[in-house]
Amino acid sequence: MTLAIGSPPLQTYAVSKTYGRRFGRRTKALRNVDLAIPAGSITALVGPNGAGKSTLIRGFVGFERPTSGRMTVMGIDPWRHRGEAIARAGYVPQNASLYRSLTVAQHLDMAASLRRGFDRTLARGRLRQLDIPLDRRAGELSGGQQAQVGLALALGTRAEVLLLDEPLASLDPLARREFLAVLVSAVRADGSTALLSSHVITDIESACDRLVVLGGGRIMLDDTLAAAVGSHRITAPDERLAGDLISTFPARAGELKALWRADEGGRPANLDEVVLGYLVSGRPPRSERPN
Amino acid sequence: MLAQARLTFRLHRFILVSIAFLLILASVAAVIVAARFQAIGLISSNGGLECDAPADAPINYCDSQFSQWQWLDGNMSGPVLALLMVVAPLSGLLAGVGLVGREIEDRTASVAWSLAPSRMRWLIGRVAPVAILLAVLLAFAAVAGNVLQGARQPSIDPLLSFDNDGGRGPTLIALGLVAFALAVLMGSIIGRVFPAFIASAVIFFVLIAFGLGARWALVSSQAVIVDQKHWSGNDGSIMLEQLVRYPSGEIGSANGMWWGYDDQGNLTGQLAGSTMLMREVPGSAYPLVAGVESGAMLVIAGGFLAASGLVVRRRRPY
Repeated sequence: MTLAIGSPPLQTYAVSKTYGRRFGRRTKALRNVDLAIPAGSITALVGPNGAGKSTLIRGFVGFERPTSGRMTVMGIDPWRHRGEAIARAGYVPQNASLYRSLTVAQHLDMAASLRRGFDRTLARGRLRQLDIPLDRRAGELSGGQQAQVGLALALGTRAEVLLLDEPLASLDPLARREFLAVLVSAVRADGSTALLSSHVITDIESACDRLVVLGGGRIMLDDTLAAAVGSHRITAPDERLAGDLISTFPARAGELKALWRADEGGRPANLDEVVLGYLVSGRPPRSERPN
Repeated sequence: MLAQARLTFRLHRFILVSIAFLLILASVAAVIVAARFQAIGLISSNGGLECDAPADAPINYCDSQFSQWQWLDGNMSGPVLALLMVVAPLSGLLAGVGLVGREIEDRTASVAWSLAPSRMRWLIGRVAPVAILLAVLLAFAAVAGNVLQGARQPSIDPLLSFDNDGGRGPTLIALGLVAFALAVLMGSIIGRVFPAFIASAVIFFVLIAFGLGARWALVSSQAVIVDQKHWSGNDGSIMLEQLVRYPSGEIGSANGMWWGYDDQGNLTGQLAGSTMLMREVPGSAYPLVAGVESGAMLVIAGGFLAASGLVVRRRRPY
């Protein structure tokens, strides 16, 4: 793997994306997003529906063109030089998107025919470890197995960057855990970099080492997981924030009193509370807000 | 590329088998009708048909043979040639519309395009095998159409005749391939199979309507003027208009004039002393016309496929 020092594998420079510009119904999916995903990390991209997670990931695969700003994959602009960027990225879309009538083995054949250097042996080996029958049609596999096939296709590319667009969304807890275990071991073994968007906060806690919270198309938090948890505390109630949180999550009203980015005071927040706090408040941390 | 071709056939096997069945069925029907013409046993003679009755044949043998021939020509050969003319573009539309359209509709393009550094290579891997298969099947149908045309008019070489030229020969192949390329393009643009099929069919018929005008101009450019006495009307040519060469040598129309023939077959009345002429496109111009029109259609098909490439390169896979 070749990467210039100081050049993150995935980077955005003030990227904005607006949909529907031609038809009058504008939707801003991304607003001035500056992001740098460090090499070798597994970064969780978290945010509510419509936050811009899929748009961001699809931008890295060259499926979406930024309205303004620039994105790079290993220093390559995926829109201008899509082929070169894609040759360095593996992608797992939502819902696996497999060919229902093709067998698993035929999917691997297809990947090998499309992607030079596709490691069929590696992909086969991973699927065999998971007892996924290679001669079974994709349409006959469970959701978890389909997701594993999608992941095996991405891992078989031996790409330096893995982009996973909510692959866990439709999986049961056991399948999610299995999926993440495969992902983590593969990323650690290959030294690649992964960006994983997900709704399921408890799962990403065990797999990821960085957290990016996206809300309303803006980056609300971008930090290591440890720093994100360590720098937030639950303290005295903030009426507005507490009100928002309690109305959204009434069952947790007792514990979600307020989110405070501080060194002391209150009690330490857990990851769930940090993410929920940002998502519900829809605003950046207090310490970063202008007075 | 072979692996891609194999997977493409596998992915689209249902529609490809259906198309193959349709085209082979129509081709076999044409060959069977041609065989039935030959079984009747009428032979070509001086631009017409002749019955060669066996010595022990019943007295009405030839009447029966001619009547069978006429029934076959009126009720079977026309519908079969028309069927070929419909099946060829229909097959093209069905084969082409799902190649990209279905992948976008089913979202499988997301996986394929994220694996393929070159979407053009992916597109070629999808389109080329199906286009080749379609061209081979259409070629069978085109030859079968020629065989049928040759059987129903044994005195005329089907390669030198304009009769039923839309349902046979290179024109048939080109029609199918234009429809195929158009369907690939519409599938790429719309990304949904059924709407793309409807749009392709409508645009195809509009193109054909415009194309017929251009074709007529091409055909007319090959017209020659012949003496009506040498014109049989059944030689594979296209009659454009009847003309008159006046005694002055000038050529004009007979419209609005009263005239007739005397016992010797000479013109009388206002056209006395004139000669009746025919402006026709001789059957010998068929290879040129068919070649030019097929070539033009193939160029258009190539344009549609190139446009599909541009669309696939730029569009989202969903």
